[in-house]
Amino acid sequence: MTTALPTRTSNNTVPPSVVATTNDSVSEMGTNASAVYLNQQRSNDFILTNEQLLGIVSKNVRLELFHLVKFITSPSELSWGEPIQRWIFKKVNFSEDKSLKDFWAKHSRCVRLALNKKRGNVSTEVKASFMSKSIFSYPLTLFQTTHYYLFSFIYITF
Amino acid sequence: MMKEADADEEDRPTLSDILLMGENENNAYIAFCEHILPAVCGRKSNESKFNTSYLSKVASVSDEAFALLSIENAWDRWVFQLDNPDDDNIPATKYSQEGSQSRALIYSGWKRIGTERFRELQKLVKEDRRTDDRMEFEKLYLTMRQESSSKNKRGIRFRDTDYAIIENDLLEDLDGVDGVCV
Repeated sequence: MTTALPTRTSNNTVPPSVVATTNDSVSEMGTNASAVYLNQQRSNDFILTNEQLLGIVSKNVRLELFHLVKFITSPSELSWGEPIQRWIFKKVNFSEDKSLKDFWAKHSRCVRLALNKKRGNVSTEVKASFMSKSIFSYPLTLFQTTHYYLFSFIYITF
Repeated sequence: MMKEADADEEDRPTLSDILLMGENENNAYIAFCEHILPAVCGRKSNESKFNTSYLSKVASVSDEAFALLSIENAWDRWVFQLDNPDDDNIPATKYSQEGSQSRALIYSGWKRIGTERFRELQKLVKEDRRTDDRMEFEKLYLTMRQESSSKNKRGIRFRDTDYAIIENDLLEDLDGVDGVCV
């Protein structure tokens, strides 16, 4: 599922619909200056900082990209226009304008780091599952299946 | 006692059984799908999907290949650790680098041979998913999951004889309200 996200590229203008949905009434403000200030405050709320953008990208890497890509072994895989960049921008609905190209040039390394971290966490989880011996005790869990009852019955009878 | 231990070891699924994938030799792949694969796919997020969809719809080729790579990488080490918890002469892993050597960093903690093996496993998983054995296995696994899940649900279903009547103060309160109204 993709979510449309306003970004820094929105040139600090707020779509009318965004302002219309807020609860405060601008007309209740005493002066025009206050109204302008309030509008500026509101528009700032809808501009994401680089840290927030990075957070969104990292989350998508951990939760979704990881299931499709496990290793990034060459820096060229993170170049602008390569499948990973296009997939991430499509996923988080970033427009592909110049400021985001700069953002990508500066922060694409974080994708690799997030993927490495996720892979490390998953490896730890795999080890924990293995060391719990459950994989070796599996035949016991077959007791719960009707197939095993049938098999046991035939074995004991004959 | 020794015999028992040997018997236990014989019952274990082996790595080569697991690598046969859909052939499910000695139920090894069921054990793998039940315990190892969810650690890669996301245990919590996909638990219910395993009960409703075929395995190949829940786990991507890459997930399955990585789960296989992970256990192949450390199989000797982990089995040794399980069998000899107090022994410090732990065998090395097959494909991953240990420590912070520069080679380890280049391939993000994995040797080049590890990433090559991953690519090979991806191909093998793709091929396996096209075989009849695999189709049969996926059907069997889904049926097994559904049986197991319905049994668990049955355990918490109310039965007629289980109802317990607990008195509450609703009626008194309603009477009181009626009284006020009248």
